[in-house]
Amino acid sequence: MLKVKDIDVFIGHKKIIKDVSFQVPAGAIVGLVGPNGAGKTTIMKTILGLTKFKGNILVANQTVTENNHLALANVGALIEHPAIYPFLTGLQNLELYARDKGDMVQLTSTLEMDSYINTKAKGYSLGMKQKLGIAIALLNQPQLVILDEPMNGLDIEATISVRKLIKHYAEQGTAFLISSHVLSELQKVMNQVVLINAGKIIINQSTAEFNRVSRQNYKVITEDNPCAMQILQKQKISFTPKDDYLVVRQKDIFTIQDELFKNRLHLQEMLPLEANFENIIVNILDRERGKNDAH
Amino acid sequence: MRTSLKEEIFKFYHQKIALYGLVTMLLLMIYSVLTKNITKSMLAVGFGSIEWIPIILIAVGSAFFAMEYTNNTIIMLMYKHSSKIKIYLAKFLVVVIYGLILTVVAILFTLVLKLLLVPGEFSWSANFQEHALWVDLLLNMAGVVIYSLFIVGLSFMLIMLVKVNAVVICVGLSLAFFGASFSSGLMTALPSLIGLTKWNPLSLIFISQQLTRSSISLKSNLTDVQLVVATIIYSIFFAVLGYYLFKHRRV
Repeated sequence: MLKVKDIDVFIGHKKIIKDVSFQVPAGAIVGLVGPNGAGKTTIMKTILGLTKFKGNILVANQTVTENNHLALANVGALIEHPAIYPFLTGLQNLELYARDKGDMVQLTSTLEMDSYINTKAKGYSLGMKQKLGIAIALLNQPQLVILDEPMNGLDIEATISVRKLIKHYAEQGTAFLISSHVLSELQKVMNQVVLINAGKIIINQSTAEFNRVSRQNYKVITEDNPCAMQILQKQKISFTPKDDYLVVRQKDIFTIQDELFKNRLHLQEMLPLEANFENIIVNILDRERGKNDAH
Repeated sequence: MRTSLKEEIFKFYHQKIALYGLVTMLLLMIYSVLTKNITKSMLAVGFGSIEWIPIILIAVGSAFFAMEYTNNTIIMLMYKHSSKIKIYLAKFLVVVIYGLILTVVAILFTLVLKLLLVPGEFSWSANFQEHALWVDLLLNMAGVVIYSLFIVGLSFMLIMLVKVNAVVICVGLSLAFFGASFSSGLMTALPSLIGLTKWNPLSLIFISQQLTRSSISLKSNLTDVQLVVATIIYSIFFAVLGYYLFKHRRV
């Protein structure tokens, strides 16, 4: 649905997005992740034809340029803050963009906005504005939806409702590109992760692959952990002792099992460690910064 | 273009700033009635409305454009439309049409006020200055309509340049209150350069009265035709410059 190929974006003479390429297939939910100032919003704005760029952007096989937005006819977006006219009611804000009234009514109902949709938007709370912004982005059954920090200001119920809605639209074939600082929330919906730092893509993987590669440590409990440690030391297998278990690397798990068996030491537990998604991202970014500092 | 125009009219109508502008003009006309004696001269200038309309237009025009950036709606506006010129033109047209409406309402309200306050005095067909009084009123208002093009172009250009609505309004007020005297002062101070300085844009404000009072050409140093043509050329210049700034402004 969306193909971004070799794009460079400049502010003045400074290149702020460097050779970025990725794809968002129909029905995929791609998380665009990275620290502040990494270039997430700039990439989103570039896809929407709002900045000058070098490279190619295709939406449904149609080219997007700064001056040609025909391909964006079926694209919904929420960038930075909800684009809402405060002097209009929520409904009037939706009517300004809606091509299908039935779809509009359905969205307001699903997002539980009926109680305030006919009041002026200037009186809305942050969460109400955010929901309206999301509703505007989802109008007219879009092929591609770009959401920048969609969960900002939403309470738990609204967050769950938006998450369900995103999944529902994705099941119907809508492609999503979503950025969020709430990684744990993003983790629940996305099926592809694009990690960006200093305008460059560091990782572009399916979440399954990302989890497999990133979660390489295992937790090991034996009937006698001090004895197990001696065996591992003897075999020069690296491990990290914790309170009542050992942390070992995925690549060593079969050797460890063989050695323990040879030494008649019983294994009680061997499980992949559930690494926190946020921690993994932070670790990767730290490694990247280390590399950059070394250069 | 039709879609852009429909959207802009919808927003302009609901923003209420148009209504506030209209009410302000009517209140200022009433203020003129209450604080000054009613004379033929006052009737010819629509109870001061020829001065107030440009100020209202500069404030309304800049607020109408600035709100797109304040509310972040400029992103939607830009990505939903390929043509930036259509967005700009639609906004320009809406404000110019609003200026026309203000002018028509000012004429009607002048008629009503005269009818209510001095019904037996100052016949509209009586001569005043060089024409019948009603011709004076219409010519002055025609001058305001032409000057409105310049004011809308200027307000759009300024809001793209300085990005602060209050500054644009201050410039509008300065133009209205000091533009004419500053322009005259400039020409008096540099008599040798009058061939050049008479074309300064501050002179254009004379258009709102010179069409009925040829004596004002002594201040502007421009003929009626020169004044009209200069106003239109400056209007186009500022509108084009404003569009260029709009097109290249980062969102």
